Amino acid sequence: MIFLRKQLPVAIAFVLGMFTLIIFYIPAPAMQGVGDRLKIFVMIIGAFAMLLGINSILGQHIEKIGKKRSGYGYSWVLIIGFVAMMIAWIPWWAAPPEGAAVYYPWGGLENNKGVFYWMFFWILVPMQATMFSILAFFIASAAYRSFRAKTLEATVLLVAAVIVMLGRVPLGTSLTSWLSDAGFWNNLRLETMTSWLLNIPNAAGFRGIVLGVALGIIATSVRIIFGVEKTYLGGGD
Amino acid sequence: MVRAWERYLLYSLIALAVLLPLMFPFDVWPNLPTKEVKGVFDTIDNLQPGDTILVAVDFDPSSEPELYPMLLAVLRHAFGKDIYVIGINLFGPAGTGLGVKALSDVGEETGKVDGEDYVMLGFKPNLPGVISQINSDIKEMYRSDANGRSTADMPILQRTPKLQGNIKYMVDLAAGETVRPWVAFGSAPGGYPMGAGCTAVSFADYFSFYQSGQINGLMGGLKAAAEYEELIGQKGAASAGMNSQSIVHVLLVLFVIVGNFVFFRALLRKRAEARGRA
Repeated sequence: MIFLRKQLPVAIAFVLGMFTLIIFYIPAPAMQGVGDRLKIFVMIIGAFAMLLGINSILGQHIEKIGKKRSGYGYSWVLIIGFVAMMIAWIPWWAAPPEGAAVYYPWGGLENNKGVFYWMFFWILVPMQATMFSILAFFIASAAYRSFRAKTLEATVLLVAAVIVMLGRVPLGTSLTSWLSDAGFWNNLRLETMTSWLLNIPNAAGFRGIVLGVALGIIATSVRIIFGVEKTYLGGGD
Repeated sequence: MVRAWERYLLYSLIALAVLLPLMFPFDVWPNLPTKEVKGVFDTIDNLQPGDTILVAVDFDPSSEPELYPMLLAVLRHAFGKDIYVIGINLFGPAGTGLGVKALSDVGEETGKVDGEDYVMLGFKPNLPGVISQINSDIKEMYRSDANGRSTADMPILQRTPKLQGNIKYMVDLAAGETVRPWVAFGSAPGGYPMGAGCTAVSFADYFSFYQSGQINGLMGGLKAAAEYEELIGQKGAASAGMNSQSIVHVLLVLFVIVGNFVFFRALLRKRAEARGRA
């Protein structure tokens, strides 16, 4: 059993990892074709991961309902929503109506009078957009109670944030639009300062982060390929 | 510590700052297009009728208020110039519906035909793998479009069987980390230029890609969508939202100033009391 659980996955990771690494440097069409096939396998595995995710989230909420844990009513909402959206999207194996490709008994995405379309655009879209929009209130509250110039670093951050917040909206830029857009005075215009902050300190910092992440990915990949890193095999012995 | 009445006041002011300009629109502050947005606009504007572009609808409904107006503006521009559009979504399943709706709505406005002038390919997981594959063969990866139609004889995909060498431009409208894989696995090996649109909070993240020339245009948030609407001369949802956004940003700056004033006043009072006790 230890062979199936430990050695075989490490061997597969090593062989396929080395293979995809090597073919990246061999531009022969035959090799690229094999590489493309391997990428399709990754996609299929990704689809199975989605199934596992669905299984996991439904399992958790069914258990919560079964044990009547606090807030189990919301679990009902999740399960009913999930089942309703899924049923509305399932195509039937009947002949599609003229001009359509698939027969969706409850509409599909093409039929703007269908149930699925209605649920997608009038329930899911506004609800998700609302969740994101609530951030405006949290940010307002955070700006008032937490954004303090307590230290030099915090002051620099605060000043930069204020400049970018104003420099990224028409009302803000019109505050300094009376300054000349040439010569020294142009440097004091809010949009020029915003552009400088984004172009110089921000881009430098972000580039450093991206390079660091890339080096980290390379190091982790090498560790996985050579079997040093095994945490992806799961916990336990 | 924020007292309850302070929180109610802050939230009410934000709500009013968002709602009032939307209910009573006005046109006072000019929204001048930036060179980052012009990068995307100019590239599409310089294409010829009959060219094909790829538009990645890599966002879901949570980013819809910012990115959907951007998508509509780009599509209106492309269709207005008789440019074919291939839509794709590699971010999450919910983005496909937004892509289908935008393409069919703007297609209907401009008299374009689904499957001939545009197509929305659906969602597939594993972004780098899908991008690499469609660079060399779209129909192998997408046997059907988002509406379930077979792509085998679809005119737009007959003209554009693969991205490499066929598409003239690619725009990724991204809510998450999709720009980087599109640069690394799509645009760079495929040899086609690329532009990107993102939410305002991600704008700073992608600026280094713009600065390095890996993307030739960058649209950040609702402001960029409004700038694009301005450039194509068709004001829409983004332009309508700019007044709200302007006032909210100024309000946030005022909150920061007032918050600091209250904090330092309390601090000085506390120090004075401590000195008095000493």
